[in-house]
Amino acid sequence: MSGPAIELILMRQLASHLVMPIFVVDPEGNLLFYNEPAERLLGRRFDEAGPMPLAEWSTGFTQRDEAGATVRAEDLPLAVALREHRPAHRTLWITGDDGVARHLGITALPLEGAGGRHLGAVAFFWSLDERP
Amino acid sequence: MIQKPIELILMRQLASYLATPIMIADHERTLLYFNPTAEAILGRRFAETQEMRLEEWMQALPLYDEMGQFIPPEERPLPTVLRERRPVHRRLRLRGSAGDLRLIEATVLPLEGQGGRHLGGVIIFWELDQP
Repeated sequence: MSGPAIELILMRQLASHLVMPIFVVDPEGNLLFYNEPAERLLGRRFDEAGPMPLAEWSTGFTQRDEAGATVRAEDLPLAVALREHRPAHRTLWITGDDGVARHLGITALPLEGAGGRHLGAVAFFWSLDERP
Repeated sequence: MIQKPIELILMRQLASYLATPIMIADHERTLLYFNPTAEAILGRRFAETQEMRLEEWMQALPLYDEMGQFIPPEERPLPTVLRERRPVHRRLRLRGSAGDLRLIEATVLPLEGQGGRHLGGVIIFWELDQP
């Protein structure tokens, strides 16, 4: 029986030590892990939520661009990194369960190991500012 | 010999496995590592450069903005992140080993551990198709 790839183990360990919100998804977009700072964005603890299918976690918040237009889920940096196997960046307004619109910078990169193994993607989030 | 913080050790290990170009510096402005994918864009091998002071690195690898204007060292993303402890994202140009100016996009993140420990910064960058 094979365990998780070393890249995913390292990514999760690193994320658990950092104060920046970090999300890790598998090649199908299922949420594998998010760290404590990311819990404040999602409004729920990972210990309680556990791994989540894409259809579930992606509906937990709404996202809009700088002009206020809704951003399709497939245009989010994580989705682009997964689909196109390349890093992606954009700024967004994201509203979570608590109703707060957060202005975020997001960079996502594919987790690709040696030999082109596609393991998923990771997204780093940071706050640009907030509005109620 | 002083042991590096666990976050830097993990970041370096992870970067060594990934296909995305990644560079790591500590908060004392030492370039600690860049991975094999970064070597291909930078035109330099880490095995040859090893760790070096950021000032030395910036002199060896000048950066330009999208329009081709030289970026003064302290206005580059990494020194900004190390100084201000906030992420920076921008498009840049660097000179490839063939002498051409290559357009890249870079996100530079501060590496901050629990308890507000400022550990350094990580550069994630990728080449864009545009000339």
